[in-house]
Amino acid sequence: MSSSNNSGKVLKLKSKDNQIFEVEESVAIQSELIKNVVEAGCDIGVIPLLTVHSKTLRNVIEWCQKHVDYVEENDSGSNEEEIKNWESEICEEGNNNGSDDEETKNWESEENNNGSDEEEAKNWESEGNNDGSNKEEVENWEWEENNDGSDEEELENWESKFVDVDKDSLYALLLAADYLSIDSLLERVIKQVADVIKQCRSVEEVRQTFGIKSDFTPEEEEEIREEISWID
Amino acid sequence: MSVLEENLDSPLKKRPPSWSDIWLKNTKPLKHVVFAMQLQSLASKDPKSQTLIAKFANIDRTLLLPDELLLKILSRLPISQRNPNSLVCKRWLNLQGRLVRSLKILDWDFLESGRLITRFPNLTNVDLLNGCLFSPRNSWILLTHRMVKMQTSSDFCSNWKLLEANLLPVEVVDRGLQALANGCPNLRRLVVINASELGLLTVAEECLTLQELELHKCNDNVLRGIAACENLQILKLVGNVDGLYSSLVSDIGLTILAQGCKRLVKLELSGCEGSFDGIKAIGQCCLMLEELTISDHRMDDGWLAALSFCENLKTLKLLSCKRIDLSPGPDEYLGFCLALERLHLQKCQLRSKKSVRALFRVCEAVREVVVQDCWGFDNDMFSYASVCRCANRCGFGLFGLDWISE
Repeated sequence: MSSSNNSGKVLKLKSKDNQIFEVEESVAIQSELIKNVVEAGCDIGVIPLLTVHSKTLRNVIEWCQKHVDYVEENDSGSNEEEIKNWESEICEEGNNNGSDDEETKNWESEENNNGSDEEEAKNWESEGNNDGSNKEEVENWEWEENNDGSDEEELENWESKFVDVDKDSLYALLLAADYLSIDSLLERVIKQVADVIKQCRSVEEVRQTFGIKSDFTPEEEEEIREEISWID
Repeated sequence: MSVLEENLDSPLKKRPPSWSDIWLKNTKPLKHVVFAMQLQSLASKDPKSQTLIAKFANIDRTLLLPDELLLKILSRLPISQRNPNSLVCKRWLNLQGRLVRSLKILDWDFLESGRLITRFPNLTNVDLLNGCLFSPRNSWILLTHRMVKMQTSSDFCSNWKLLEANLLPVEVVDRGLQALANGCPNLRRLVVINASELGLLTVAEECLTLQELELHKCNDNVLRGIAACENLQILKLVGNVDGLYSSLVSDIGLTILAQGCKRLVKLELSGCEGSFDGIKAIGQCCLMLEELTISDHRMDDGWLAALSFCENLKTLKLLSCKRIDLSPGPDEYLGFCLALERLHLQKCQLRSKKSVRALFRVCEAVREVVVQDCWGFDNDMFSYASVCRCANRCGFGLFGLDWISE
């Protein structure tokens, strides 16, 4: 976890039960709400978050921190540039090889071939041809960098564990993510709630899971069922 | 959840004015606080902690969620979940209904009574085809055709127009179209059968975003209303369907269509009559036409040559054609479609060598030819195909043909 990218500024967030959390700005601005506050210049002192309980806020901060860390670890943008530079260097060497080959041939033809000269030329050529192993190195590096695949999986697994909580906490997370406008968290929790609904095998199960009371009269329910048969 | 603390007032009063601007703009916290207070008041009726938890378990916590959030959650669910969700409670019924954009209506009263629009206020794609048919009572014979499915009685008409007896009258269809137009101003796609010009005009007036239209049992008169659909891009006309109903779309209708729908991109003519003149009119007026499908046509011979007027046509499809063009005329008048890329022949009768030869001449610019489930396609046809400019680079797809030799 490097702190090279953030300004080092720390914000103070106050939960609704009056607990103060100190959070790095780069982590806190994952929340659009807090980002707007910062941009409006109102981030002096403590930022009160009226509806978020400390327990939920702690979890939310953990989420934001994890996502900031993930982005920093997988900052493949600058690495790709480095690879490109390296590759172009290799290519230049490769090209130089061509002209080196010519040179050695010229040299060989000019001079009378001494054994030692020949050996030298061969050594030179073999050095030039070490592109092979350099390219292998580049390929290895690329493979490591492209293991984003498994990093992404890791993040997904972490996210799934994060949202695998009891219903009360899930609701609290959902409301907090909505209030604070943290898109990644909101999306993941929404997906989790949708999955819970999907798993319910009947209407009654959905009601029981969420504690919803049906406000249909039997006639109304019958009417809805009939209407369902009229559409496709 | 913890007990709500009395810290509502202090932050707002102690902060500088700039704070209140931000907080007051965002009313979400107020809504959440109100709900939380409601929960709190419900819970505090019973001081014992065990029953407190039990009370919480029985409370509908989805009430805490604003509509927008619940909508987002419901929109992530598959269509199969739509019906069960509608039965959970009135709020879910309402929200689920708001998410529905596309429907096939099977009962006409559902539309005419206005109940459809109340339940589903955001419809953009409506298929009324099967809704315009009524099934006689005690009918146990199920009739299915490509496009329709209905129950019929055993004493059907001997002249093989099975559907005509079971179609809603034109006036009724028009009334339904009026109800639909009034309730769905954002309609983009409509499928209807047995409408009249008036019904079509009502829809055109109210639904300015209508882009796709399918008119079954269409005739020349109905097409008089089509010019009013200014943004129409995709159109399918079904004139005659053997065994189900008969309806005439002739050159008159095709010309009216051509002049009225200049923005057409895709056109399908099924069971239509007409001739060279009608196709020529379409080619000359519908300059953006890219895809033309001709299905089970009854056009007069000599129509193939008119295709060359469709200068921007990219795809030509011939489906279920019993004949293509038995008398296409001399080669020098055939011309060819400049921009044509794909030719697709499906379930066509290709025995007439003159037809096929003329067809390939008109389509000489194609890059891809697909011949599927056709009959009469023999080795000679390939030699006709060689006239296609890019014949050696042309992709040939042959499916469902009985016998092909080298």
